[in-house]
Amino acid sequence: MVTSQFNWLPHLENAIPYEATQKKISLYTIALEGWRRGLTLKFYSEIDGNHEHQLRYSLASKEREHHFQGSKGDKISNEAQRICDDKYLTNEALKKAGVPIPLGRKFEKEKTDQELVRYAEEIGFPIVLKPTNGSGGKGVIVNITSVDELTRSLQYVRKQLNYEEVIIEQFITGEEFRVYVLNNEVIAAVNRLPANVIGDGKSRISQLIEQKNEERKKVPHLYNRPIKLDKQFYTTTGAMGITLLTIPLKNERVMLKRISNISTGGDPVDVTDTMTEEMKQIAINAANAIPDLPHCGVDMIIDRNRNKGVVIELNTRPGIGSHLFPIEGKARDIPKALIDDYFPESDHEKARRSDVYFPLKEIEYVLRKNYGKEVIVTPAPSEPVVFKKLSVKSTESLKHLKSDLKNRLLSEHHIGFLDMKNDREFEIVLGNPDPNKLQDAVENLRNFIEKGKRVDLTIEPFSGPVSAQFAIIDPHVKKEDDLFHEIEETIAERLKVEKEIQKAKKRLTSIKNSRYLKWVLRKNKRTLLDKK
Amino acid sequence: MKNNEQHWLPHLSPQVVEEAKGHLLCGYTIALEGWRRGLQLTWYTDQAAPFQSMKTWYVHKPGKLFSLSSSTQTHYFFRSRGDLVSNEAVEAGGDKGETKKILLSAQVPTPKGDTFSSDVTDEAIKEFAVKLGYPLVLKPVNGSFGRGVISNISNDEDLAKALYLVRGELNEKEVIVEEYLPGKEYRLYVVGDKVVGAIERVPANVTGDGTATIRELMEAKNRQRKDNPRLVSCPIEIDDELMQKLEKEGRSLETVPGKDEVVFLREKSNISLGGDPVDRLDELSDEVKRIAIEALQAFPDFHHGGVDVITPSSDYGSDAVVLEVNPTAQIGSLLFPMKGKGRNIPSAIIDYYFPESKSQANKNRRTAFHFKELLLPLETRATISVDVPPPTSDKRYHKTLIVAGELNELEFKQGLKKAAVRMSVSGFMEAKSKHTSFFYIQSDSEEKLGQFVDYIQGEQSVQHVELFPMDHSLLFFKQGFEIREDKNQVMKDLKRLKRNMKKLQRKQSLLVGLVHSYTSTKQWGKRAYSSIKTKRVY
Repeated sequence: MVTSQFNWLPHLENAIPYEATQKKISLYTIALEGWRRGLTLKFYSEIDGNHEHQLRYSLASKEREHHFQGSKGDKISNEAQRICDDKYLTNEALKKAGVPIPLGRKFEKEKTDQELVRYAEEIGFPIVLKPTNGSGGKGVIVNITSVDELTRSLQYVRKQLNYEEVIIEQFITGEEFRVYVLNNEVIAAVNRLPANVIGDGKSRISQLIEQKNEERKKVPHLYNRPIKLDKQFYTTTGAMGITLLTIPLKNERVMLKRISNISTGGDPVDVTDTMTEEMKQIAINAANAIPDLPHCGVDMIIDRNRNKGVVIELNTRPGIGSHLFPIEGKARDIPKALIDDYFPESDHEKARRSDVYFPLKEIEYVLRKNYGKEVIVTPAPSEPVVFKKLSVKSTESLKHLKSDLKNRLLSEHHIGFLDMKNDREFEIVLGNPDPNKLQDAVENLRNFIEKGKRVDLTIEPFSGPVSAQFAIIDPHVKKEDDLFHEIEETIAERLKVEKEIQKAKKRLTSIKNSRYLKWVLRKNKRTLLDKK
Repeated sequence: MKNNEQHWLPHLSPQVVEEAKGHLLCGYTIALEGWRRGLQLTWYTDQAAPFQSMKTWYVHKPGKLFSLSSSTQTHYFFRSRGDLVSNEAVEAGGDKGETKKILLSAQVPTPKGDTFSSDVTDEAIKEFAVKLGYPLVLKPVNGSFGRGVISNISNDEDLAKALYLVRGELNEKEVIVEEYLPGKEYRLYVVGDKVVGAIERVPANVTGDGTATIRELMEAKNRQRKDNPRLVSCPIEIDDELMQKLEKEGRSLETVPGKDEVVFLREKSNISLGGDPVDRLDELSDEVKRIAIEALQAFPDFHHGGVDVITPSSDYGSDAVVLEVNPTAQIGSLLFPMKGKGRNIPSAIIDYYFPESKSQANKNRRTAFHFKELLLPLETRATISVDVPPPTSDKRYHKTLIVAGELNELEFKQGLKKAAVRMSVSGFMEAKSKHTSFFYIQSDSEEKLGQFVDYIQGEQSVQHVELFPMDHSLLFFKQGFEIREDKNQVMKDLKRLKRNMKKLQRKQSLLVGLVHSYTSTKQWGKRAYSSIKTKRVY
């Protein structure tokens, strides 16, 4: 499977540097859109509740400056943010505006479990139980169908997890939609499918998963978010009688999990064009129910057969990666729409023509470690950049050229990179908005390299996108910030693995202690003995 | 020997300027002075707008361009030169012919002589020389670091040789011929109407001890120069010039000079050629200082800079002749002289530009920002500017500790940094041996400081914590909590982390496989499913 099968925005293809993938997609793509249009882009740091320095940014034209945090801009008021962060306040506002939401209410910690059970019976099972201030789905228990089950769940959430303040809500079945609303308009919607594979009639599930994970690596915000063989996977497939060895039929879609969480392997599928007007209106009404909320992500559960839907949540800082890089369907250019809205005077054509992007790695390093508090990103070239590539090979070592080359190239203000492949081979990509200047620079460089040396030098055209700096890629040199990033990443990765190990261990213990296993073992022993 | 002879500024110790080698030294010390006073400091690349109209050079690497701002004004700097110094002054100062003209018209004494453009013949120059009278100096109009300067030319034959060398071999057609004045050479630094620093430039020399050869004495001297932040890359080097000088005086590298005998190794006094900077601010006469101040005032808007003079009639000068002015003078040798006191040039410059910050002049003297690190995005040209966070002022409570244990564990170090941020404790940890480290920590709350010590004590990899009372007033620390270690240690940490990671991944796949082998039968799967509640999350 190749990238070209995706229906993505051409100006974003290969224009997201590695350090901006995953969680920084929203921030990066919006900043990039503004920067490419010629707006002044600043990054600065703000200390969050955990004493950590978080990246913020601002864009400015001659007329105005706007501040952003992820995909949230400063047109969203603090009050709107406060309401959206609190599920109870959100529900109150939505209820008042007549937006359909699941019936339910909040219970303070003084309320007894009995009161909660009584209320659940009143609104009717199945219900959902969730803490008021949980995040990432922690402590959320869905599809509770009986009083007995509710009592056990309450014990778990209120006592064990210590979330004493909870919400009880009707459980509504349907598909999960993330709808992006901007100024009374739905500009994008995705349906998040749980992790799944499509059969080809030959491959086993395990092979299909491997293929799918390879494909996911090409999706910037899904990089490092493969389909994991976790507990969810085993329970879901187990229930369907499927194992890793099963061979699905050609074009058969096999759901591997029940949860449609993107981070555990779920697929974003664009549904902007197929969403009905009624459902779109619900999303718009939801955004309008909160004052000063011109743009947001609306989480809905929609029953497409009955054209019915409810609003679950409003996000002031929704991740927009799913809209930009859906696994199926068309990409929606939210950054363009946002910058059009915040900076109507800026030229969006410039961003579409651009063949450069800015590096974020050093900026993040300096700000996160508080070595700097604010930086201004080097402005984007005002004209499209033309590129040439010089490939140089020699039978002798070219090491001695390295430092001269570096100095020379860095002092000339080109865009491009020097890639020291090894001691006898390197590549230089040079870019300049002025083709004549580029030609001169390339000629000078050729003369410099060929002077008194036997080298094999070829020059060819090159097309971007290219990072707007002059980068030196040298496998022998590791910079401090590279080390920092590698350590941070490996530690994060290790935490994940450690968690998985804990989970697997727990599961193993529960299996070992289960009566069923003991029964199987006894039976096996018996049959063994019988055979003897 | 150096310790009783040199008295450098305690708040600008070699440790403080360690990251600012060579041409970064001047700018760094001035930026640091401003930052310590609470001025907003910003570093730039050469693409930043304010520097497009300023005369600068070799600025493709960052660390030389910066700005300082108070609440009322902003000034831009290139190395030691601020934006009050006009481009005309910079241009005139870089042109020795122009300098001479300006000084003459302001009646500032300069050596008699003239400038010759490239179309003047050697013959015409020789004629002029005879009229002026020997001994003479020949030098190119555009040049620095003593390149192509030929002094003490005493006859026609030497002049012809010199002309051939400078105009022919070095291809410096435009030259100056002037009278050669023997005497001591000084570099004075003038700010406004004050001389704030002065060094004598003593040509490269060694002092005998009665047993060591010149070669050995030179090596010792170069070791001493290595400890000097200004001289670290300016050793005395053995070359033709040096050998000829020794030979002329009947010496060789193996000669053993007598005790306390000073042997000069060169004629030229340039610091970059091995010359010694010796502080002479207190010794120099007021007359010499007055001449230096007048020299700068002869130029339009030359508010501060270096003036090179020679005192022909007496050592510390009843009079002086101005050789050169330098608007972008290096101030390192005034901060770190081989003998005498380091003079606080950065403070004088900041006083001049930001008089409103004078009251803050003694603030934050033991701390500095992370220079090398904050230049990174400028080096790669990712950004055109980086604003430096203001200094967190000296905290009230301090502790010094010696800690023993497995302190190189990455987990320990990472945890430590996080804890320091959480408890708002700053300072540093510095390894003293494989298993012991020295800690300096400070905080505004005694309680938090105690908590941090408790935290260290409670860590698994820590064996022992010992309070180590000492005078911390001379300890230098960077902002935040710093773990002082070199890149090799970080590389080692990363390698170990990755090895560890591989092991974990293997363990994980084994465990998951094991779980799977239990649950993969159809029957088992069904049972397992019904016994474990599914959860749905949104």
